[in-house]
Amino acid sequence: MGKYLFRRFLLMIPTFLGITFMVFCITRIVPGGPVEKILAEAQMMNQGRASGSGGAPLSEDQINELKAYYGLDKPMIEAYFIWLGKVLKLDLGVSSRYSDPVWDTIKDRLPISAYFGIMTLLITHLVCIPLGIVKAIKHNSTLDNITSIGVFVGYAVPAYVVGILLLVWFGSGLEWFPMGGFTGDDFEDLDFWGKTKDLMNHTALPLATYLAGDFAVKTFLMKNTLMDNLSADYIRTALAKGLSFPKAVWKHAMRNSLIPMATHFGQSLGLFLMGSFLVEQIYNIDGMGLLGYESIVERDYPVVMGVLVISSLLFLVGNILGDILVALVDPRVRFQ
Amino acid sequence: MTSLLEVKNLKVSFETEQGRVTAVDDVSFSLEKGKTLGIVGESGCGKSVTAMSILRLLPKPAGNIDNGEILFNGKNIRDLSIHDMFQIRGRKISMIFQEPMTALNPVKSVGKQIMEVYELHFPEMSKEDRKRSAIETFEMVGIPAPDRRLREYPHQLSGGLRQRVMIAIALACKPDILIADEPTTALDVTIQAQILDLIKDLQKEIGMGVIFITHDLGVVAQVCDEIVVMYAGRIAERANVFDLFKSPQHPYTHGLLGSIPRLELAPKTKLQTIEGMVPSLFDMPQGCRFQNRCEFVQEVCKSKIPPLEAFQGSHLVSCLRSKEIEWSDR
Repeated sequence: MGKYLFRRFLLMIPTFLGITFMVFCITRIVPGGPVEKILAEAQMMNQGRASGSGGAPLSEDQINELKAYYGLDKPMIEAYFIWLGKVLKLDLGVSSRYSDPVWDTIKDRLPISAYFGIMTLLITHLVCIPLGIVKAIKHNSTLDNITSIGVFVGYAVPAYVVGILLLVWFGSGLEWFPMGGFTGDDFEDLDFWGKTKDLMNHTALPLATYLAGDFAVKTFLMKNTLMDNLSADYIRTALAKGLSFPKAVWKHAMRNSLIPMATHFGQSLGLFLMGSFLVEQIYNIDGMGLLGYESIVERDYPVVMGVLVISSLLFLVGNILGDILVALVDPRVRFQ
Repeated sequence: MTSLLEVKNLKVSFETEQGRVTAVDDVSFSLEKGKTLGIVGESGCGKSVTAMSILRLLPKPAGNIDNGEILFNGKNIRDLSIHDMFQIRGRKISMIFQEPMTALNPVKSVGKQIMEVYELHFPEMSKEDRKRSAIETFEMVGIPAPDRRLREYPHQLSGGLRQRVMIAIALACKPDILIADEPTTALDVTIQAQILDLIKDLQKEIGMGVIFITHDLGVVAQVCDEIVVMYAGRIAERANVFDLFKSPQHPYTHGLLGSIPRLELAPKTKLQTIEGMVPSLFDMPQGCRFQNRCEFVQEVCKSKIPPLEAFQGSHLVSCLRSKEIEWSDR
């Protein structure tokens, strides 16, 4: 087991290098960048001040200086390794938009996305596993069919549509919940219960949006694997031993059915902690998703790369976590 | 004297999307203590369904016992509450299934799976007692190094060992009846012989009645005292093993016996077969169910259902023409 995990960790290195190198190259190849942005801004200012002067707003020397500042003067490969060297020293660089260290920018936002991620993960598992079990046992019952319709609708409608609809109905129409943001403006002045209530109010709609799409996959994964296992021969053996059906389900089918759930759990952990830029955008939540999205739009490449480093690490660790969970529930998986 | 098990006029049907089909129709037989009854027939003839009915393990809600009695020690199993049924399953009547690969739970150690039986039926046993009994049972069925095997998982065992584990689980409580549903089909021939010997030996030791379900006539000849030949959900012929093999009376039984390859024949001799196909359960012909494959078929076979009648003593045949056909000149 230890040896296997060590090998898996070693495998993370080339995967990580591959991901970051590809995105690094893309940021270099696509048009636009911090220098171009500054040029455009300078041009705008020039036009406002004095018309007719034309020409470049910045001199060649100034542009080269800017390029050197952002590390754009060196060839792609060399620049990548310089960046990588810094990352290894835990230095993610400085945001070209805010001039703050990238890590500080991420550090502020990661907990917000993680909060939604962990809530989503908890609720989906707490709801989907029991729901899937009930649906499997009462297959084709009214309850099964009605919940299936609900779950499929949630799955079929994209998250951003669900988000907008919820916002229109419950935020703007009924005014039950605030329109967005992670906390209210007067959050700091509230007492503990006030803060909790405020937070819950702000959490409700985005959380519902996150859940809508994820419910279907997990519920049906649970239902289908359990149904497969219920028709398995070893359930018949269990019944022939004298177990009652509910006990046979609980003692024999359940553990087998949790194997695919365990695989999923590890993988979705990494994805969830990063937040969804669509949902965060809709609800104006200042989390990792929104940060990543804005930094791409603004060509703030140090932040883009920083977000990528964190998200790919989380994803890779999540995968290993999933493997460990599977090994815990399935004795057939023993790492050599 | 009441028989250990007596099945009378059993009729089982299944609800399917194409309508209700009768899988077992008017099946009767009895099993005495210490004896072995073989149920033979091709796939889908209803032999497994018959076995499942005895333990009331038919898939719900599709399968249903429509008619008949299943008397275990004179008491009708169909009248028992489900809780009484839990007491009988695994304790009084046990079952071994065909696929040792899938019939054991892959994520539980085999020790846990056998000890579960003791937990269910002898809750007063301590953990050490349960473990000791499990080891004893493993020893009884010939599993080497039983204390080590207890901790192993099904995937770590060979097919033969797994089937031994299945047998151990079935015999854990020394049941009165063992139903073996094609226990050797998935195993290779040498292991098959070992398992058959094992079941025979254990039967002598425990004195249980065994119902042996198979499509392998060789197996039947080896282990059974009495044989029920089933065809398309009905009994074609019922006789003790000597009569059946010496003078089979139903054309189907004849065909079955004729289709066994014989050592004395020249190599590459074409194997004898029974022409045609089993009629679909949805489309059963009137009259005798074997009519479309029978070379002795006459008009009367197409309208009258042949009753299961005595040919000689306890040798029963359901063929209208069994007394007319002269088997000896063939």
